Amino acid sequence: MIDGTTMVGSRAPKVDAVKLVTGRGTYTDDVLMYGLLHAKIVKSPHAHARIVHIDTSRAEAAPGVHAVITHRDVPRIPYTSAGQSWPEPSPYDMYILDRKVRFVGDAVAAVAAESRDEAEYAAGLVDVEYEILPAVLDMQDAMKPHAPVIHDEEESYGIFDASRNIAAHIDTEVGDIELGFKQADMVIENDFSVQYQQHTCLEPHVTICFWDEDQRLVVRTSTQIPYHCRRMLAFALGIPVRRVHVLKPRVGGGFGNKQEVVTEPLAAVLAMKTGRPVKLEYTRTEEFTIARMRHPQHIKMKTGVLHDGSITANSIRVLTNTGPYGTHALTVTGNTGTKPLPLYRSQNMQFYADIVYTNLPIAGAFRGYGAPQGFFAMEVHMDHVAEALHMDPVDFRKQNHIRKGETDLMSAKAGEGAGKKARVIHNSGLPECIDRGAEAIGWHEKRGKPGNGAKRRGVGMCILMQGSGVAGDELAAASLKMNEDASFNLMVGSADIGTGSDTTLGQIAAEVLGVPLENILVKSGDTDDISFDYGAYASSTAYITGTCVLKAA
Amino acid sequence: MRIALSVNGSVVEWEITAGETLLDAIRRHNLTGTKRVCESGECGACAVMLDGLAVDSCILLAAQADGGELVTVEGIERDGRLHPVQEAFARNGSVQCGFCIPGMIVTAAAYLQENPNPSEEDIRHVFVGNLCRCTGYKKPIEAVLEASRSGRAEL
Amino acid sequence: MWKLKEYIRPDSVTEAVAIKQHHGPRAAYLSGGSDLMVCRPEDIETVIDIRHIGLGYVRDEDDALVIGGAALLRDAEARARHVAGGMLTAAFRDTAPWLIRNVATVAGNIANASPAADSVPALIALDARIVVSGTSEQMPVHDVFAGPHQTNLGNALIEQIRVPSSSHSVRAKFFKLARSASDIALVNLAVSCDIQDGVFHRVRISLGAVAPIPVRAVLTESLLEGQAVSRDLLWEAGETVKKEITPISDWRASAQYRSRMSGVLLRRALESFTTPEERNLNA
Repeated sequence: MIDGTTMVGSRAPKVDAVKLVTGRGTYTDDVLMYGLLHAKIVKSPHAHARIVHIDTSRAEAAPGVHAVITHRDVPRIPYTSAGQSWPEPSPYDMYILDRKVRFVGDAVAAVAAESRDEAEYAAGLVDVEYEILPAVLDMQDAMKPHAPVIHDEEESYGIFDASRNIAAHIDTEVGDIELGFKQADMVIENDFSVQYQQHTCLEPHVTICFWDEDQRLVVRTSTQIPYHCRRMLAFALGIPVRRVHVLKPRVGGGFGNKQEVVTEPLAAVLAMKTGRPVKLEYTRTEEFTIARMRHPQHIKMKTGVLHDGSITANSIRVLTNTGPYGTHALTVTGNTGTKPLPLYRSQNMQFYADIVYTNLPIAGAFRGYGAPQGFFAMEVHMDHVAEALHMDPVDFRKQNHIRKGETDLMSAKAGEGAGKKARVIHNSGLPECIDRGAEAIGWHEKRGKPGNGAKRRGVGMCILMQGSGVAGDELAAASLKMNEDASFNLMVGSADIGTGSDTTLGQIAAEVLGVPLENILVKSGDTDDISFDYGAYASSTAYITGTCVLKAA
Repeated sequence: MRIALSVNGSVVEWEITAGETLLDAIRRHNLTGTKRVCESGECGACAVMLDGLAVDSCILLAAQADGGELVTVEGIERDGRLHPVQEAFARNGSVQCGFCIPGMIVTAAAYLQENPNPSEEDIRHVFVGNLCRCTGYKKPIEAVLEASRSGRAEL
Repeated sequence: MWKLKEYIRPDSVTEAVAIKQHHGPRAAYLSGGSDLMVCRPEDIETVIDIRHIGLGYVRDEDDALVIGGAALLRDAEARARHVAGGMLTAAFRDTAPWLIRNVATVAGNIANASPAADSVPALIALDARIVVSGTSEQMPVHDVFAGPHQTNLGNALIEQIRVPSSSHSVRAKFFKLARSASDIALVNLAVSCDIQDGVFHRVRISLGAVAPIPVRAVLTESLLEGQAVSRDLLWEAGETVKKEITPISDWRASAQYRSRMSGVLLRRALESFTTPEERNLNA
């Protein structure tokens, strides 16, 4: 228990635990809805193609079908599916449905029918004629001269250089990197590759949309970002924000995959077109192919050191594959450099990145948000640097890591929230962390002694730095209402997606108000309840929304 | 086609199609605690008890339940009281997003009927077919152990 | 989506087979469904549920452990503990997670004819035979397979699997190498033998996931037969077995890895039957 508190720091059962263990927790698809239609996406079999002709007549005539939509039926408004604060840093390069397809599985059309089977059957009856285009299937080829241009349309904007397939670009320097390498006694270089990964939330992307009696679009959806979703959906549909009402029920995991607007736009258009509630739910196969992935990257590390172990220059150069759309393109790769680089003291640092389009699956937000890729490369590389110096990796890191009172020089130059004041490290438990970690795993006894048996064991270490929230960019909202029995309705904009934040926030309110947790009735993620909240990402809810609840209470 | 079966203790008749899975039929009849996740018998989120055995309802046809006795997560409670497994899961922080939990609860409750005193190893083995993505296996295993020690884990 | 037209639940083996003969390749037998319901072949219009035709038994007869054609893996697992030091039980357990063993059957694991079926090498190594419906003939399990997911059973179904008592007292070992506890095998292997006075007899070696159908490694068996246990012999067996398999590379493992591990697993299995002293004696 934390000093002076009774509720915060205590071990309370989650406020939603009982309903979840009894199966009564209602997720998006757990409601009976009168007249519900089921949607299915007609998907491209080609990696890159122009749609020459679509004939929907056979699909429209199929049993149970209420609507078949193509690019002709949606507003041509470029949008991004990345759920981030305004101004949105990702390029506006997506269309609800487009005249072009840019990866295998890209949406060509969508069908709403009385049942899932009927929708799937009808989806197979949409006749599409394609002009197949050459495709970019390796990120190394994306910027080559004469590479196929993936975004050749005029309407998209915010792309760094569409003609060279570069969605976003980073080129930042602290000090003088060339000078730093010249000053070095030794320069060590290493290359790393990281692959696609899929989040595999147990609950797939699923959205139910309908028009309510006030002609507002109600969006019941499995999301981490109800408020971003409201704004982005209104934007993509070309309707005012006031006509969209997003509800986040229980959510079966997010991990970044739901920090995106994915199933919402098509469900919304189909609901508008049919006047009926429409559900679009991805299958597991669709989750693995047309949802979002972790960005694959090639990372080049280059470090200059003096014989005494100090770093004169440190450089990260990244090539990132964002797939056909640049959702979270700039900011994910931003973390790949801006989280690891400042961890090591150096007067000269460089971070250079090209985030390129390919005709491969769409990359997006994924736990750690680019930092795991960067730390994997940095920390393996730093072991090699220590080895080259004949230094113990623990000693090398203890000599070089950023210290209390020092300034993170990179933070003012790049990354989310950049352009503001440089971040000062006000406190740090890192030295103690390294010592205690080394002791706990028996570093000094075991390092370099793997044994001789068939199974050999070693010890390794790495250090990492992460953040909670995006300083200066993000905000939260909370509202408390007292009832006649000393219970309180706590309404928060944050989204509990299984993180337990409803409980955490309830505990904070109960602490301040001096009531038991059961007196706090927590409701989260309904955009009609309360003001804007950025949502559940960047490990920030307890910190940002939590502070907000503290103030509200 | 029409099937008759016992669902959570009540005899019902369901109208189904030949190719419909038991999972689809269950959810269509408003028993939404049983979750649709992989639809290929990999993850256990759709686990129910059919004739006393815990099974994945996504890879059984609804027709195969004709004449059977079906218990879903909604039927695990007794007389308005949580099953010890449910109680232990809720108390132990074994639940994160909760989507895999109904399947785990049903699996564990069914297993404790067969083996009221399992070892940790036994439970790990039984949970091979239950995937959790919030990486919460340790807490669920602890909860099942705790439930088994409560001495009232038999359904 | 599975456009199944018809679900039929016969009461007897005769009725089930007659229905299958009537519908031919458009019908499939269905038991636990752990393969059929995942593949959902488009050409299948009718399923014949064989869970209610009286084949759910597992029993000991005078000359064999008899597993009915609809017996669940879970029941076979429980009733086979006395066979070959528990090797058969181990193989049944490794075939699938518990939730699946509660519906899937031993006969289904055979009839599905997956090259990687886990119970099959174990059954082959114990000289198990199947009784084909409508005949009194018995067929060695190994002869069921015609190719990947292809059997020689035609419209017939597996009425029984008989694991002869003569194999119940052998020394035996089963290994499944897989990336996770619920994944399909990269290699699986079952070995059984008698060792008398330090000499191998009645050696049976069977492997899965290393050829289009489960393999019986007859060359390696004859290499070992009648030979005294030694380190060199075990090493040679591990090399020989690689010549009897034709693994492929796929997203789970390379052909080279499967081949190498086949040798390693065989050597480990043979080593488990003997003490280091026995092996060194003839070194």
